[in-house]
Amino acid sequence: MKRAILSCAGLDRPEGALAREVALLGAEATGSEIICPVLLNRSPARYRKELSENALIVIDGCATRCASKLAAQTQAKIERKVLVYNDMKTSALPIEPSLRLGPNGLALAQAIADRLIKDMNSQSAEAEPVVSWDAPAEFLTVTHDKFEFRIPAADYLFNENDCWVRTVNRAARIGISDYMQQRLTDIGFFTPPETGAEVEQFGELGSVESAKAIFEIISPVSGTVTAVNRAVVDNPGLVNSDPYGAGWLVQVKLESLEQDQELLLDGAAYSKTVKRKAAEP
Amino acid sequence: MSAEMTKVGIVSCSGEAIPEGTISRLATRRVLELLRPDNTVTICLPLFLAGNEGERNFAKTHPTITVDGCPKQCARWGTEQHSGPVSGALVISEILGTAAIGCSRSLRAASRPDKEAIWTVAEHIAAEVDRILAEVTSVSTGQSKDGTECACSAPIPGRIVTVKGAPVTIPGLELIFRQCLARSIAADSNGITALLDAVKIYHRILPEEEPEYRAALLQAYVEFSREHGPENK
Amino acid sequence: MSEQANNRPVLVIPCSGIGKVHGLISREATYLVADEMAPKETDTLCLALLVKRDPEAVEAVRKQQCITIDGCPKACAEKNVEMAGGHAAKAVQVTEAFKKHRGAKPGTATDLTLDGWAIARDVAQEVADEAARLCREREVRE
Repeated sequence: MKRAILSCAGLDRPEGALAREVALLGAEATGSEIICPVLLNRSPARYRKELSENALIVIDGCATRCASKLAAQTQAKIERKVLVYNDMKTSALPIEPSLRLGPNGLALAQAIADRLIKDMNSQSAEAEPVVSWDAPAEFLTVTHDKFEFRIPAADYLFNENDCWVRTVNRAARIGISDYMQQRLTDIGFFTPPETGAEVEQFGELGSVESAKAIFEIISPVSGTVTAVNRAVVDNPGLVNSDPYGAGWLVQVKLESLEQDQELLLDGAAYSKTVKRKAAEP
Repeated sequence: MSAEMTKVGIVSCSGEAIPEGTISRLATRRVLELLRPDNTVTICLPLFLAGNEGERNFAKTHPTITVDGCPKQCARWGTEQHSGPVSGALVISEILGTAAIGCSRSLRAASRPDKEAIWTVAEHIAAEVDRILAEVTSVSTGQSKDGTECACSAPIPGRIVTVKGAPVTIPGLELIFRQCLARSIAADSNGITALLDAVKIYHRILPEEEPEYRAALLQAYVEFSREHGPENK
Repeated sequence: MSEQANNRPVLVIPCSGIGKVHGLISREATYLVADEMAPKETDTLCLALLVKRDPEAVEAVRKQQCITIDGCPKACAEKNVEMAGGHAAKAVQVTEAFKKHRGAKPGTATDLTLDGWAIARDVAQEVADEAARLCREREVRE
């Protein structure tokens, strides 16, 4: 499987230099693409092809996790995350407190890279294909008074509890609809479910909270939670600004979509639900 | 078109520097929440001025009142600039005169004069809403050979348009066209979107029928504009 | 900055959005600062006048230091100050203050609860502290 490697750009501490060295060693050994974090932040379109074709390895220097936060905004498939700070703390060799890596720093970088390369090479040939979560291209619009509620015209299914699901192969992403985010207004908190938790259709998948209400996320599908959107935990406003894209909340591995679909609504049917709900006092 | 189905937009200046700005805001909220909850929608002036399409489209297709704290009339200016002529414009300093003296900018210091001033203005706003709704209703009592009837049997001036080769009577279309013309809404794809949203309030249009209705309404609006536009007066 | 401008108060400009409680909090926080916490150092100005490009309002934001208080990330007050040629020395968002008051029920766009007033005070304190800092910096420069 092809990969791309994104490392943080920390220039003001040894952890940044260590992260960069690990990224370079990993790229040289595996032929992976290197992603420049500054260019990715400035001009994300520049790496759209690399990120859609490759699984992403993210290497952070410290707990600020700049590379992870940047990666979360791209919607790329993140295969693995490395935090070199943890290795520094447990290293038997003291790492030189310098912005350039000394002998101990280089040795630690090689050790971390060796471990990473071994993990990357041991991925099975039947690993799941890279999943691309493109933003919806077309929307239906429901208007009520001055409010306009958008609903993706295709690829999204909804439950009556105003939560959507989008599936790619056996993976599904779940979020809340534009109608619900407008009703809630500015969302201040996202309480995610535990990764690894199993959920039944119409079970609870955490909650989002605004000044108006706490909204339980009711799962449109059954499956196992494989990821939560950390970008939303850090910046819940993403749900308001992009409820169907960057504001996704939970990713699950599907159990039985064919069965679950029978109780879900497509965009056109959900539009009618929104129209009815919006008109209610 | 029945008064019960019409919504009136209210744009308040909410001016921060003087008590009349606070009175304009609170009186508007009182009308929205208590006095005319079924017939009014408030429009957020900062969002409106910043370009929010939902707020601007509503003001383009619905009768809109502005409530300003002082004669500078910022809310009126903003609405006319971005959506067209207003249906009513209230100025609180003119309504209250010296009664605003002693009023407070902040809720913390609100006292009896504030509460009385807010109610006085709220009643003026409600009366203005009623006047507009009465105009809407009085139009509906006129004779029209294209008319249909409201559930209360009052005739509603509609207009016939041709959709997919068949004549369709759309209730209230006459008045919708008049309002759009008064607001200088252009006979183009953006203008027709706003017009279509107003029509949908009174006439059911299925999603698959929208393209044909768009074309029919565009043609009818162009004809109406030729008949009733300013160059014909 | 001119000697005349040095004596002018810091302008605190809220968004006053009418649709949400955040707009009311931005407004009341402004009054807490201008009327109670820092009455000598601060004043306010109608945002609508600024958008209308009222000459006095535009001159004020260009010559005086400004702090904006916005109800939500749309940041209408901050944007309009910048568009009028002014600069927000600090741009506060009420939604950030909410993060320190999880579970609070602040009220409505018409009235604030005790929770809502607590949030308004937090915002006001942040603004008053910044206004004091700006005034101290001016004094040092003189």
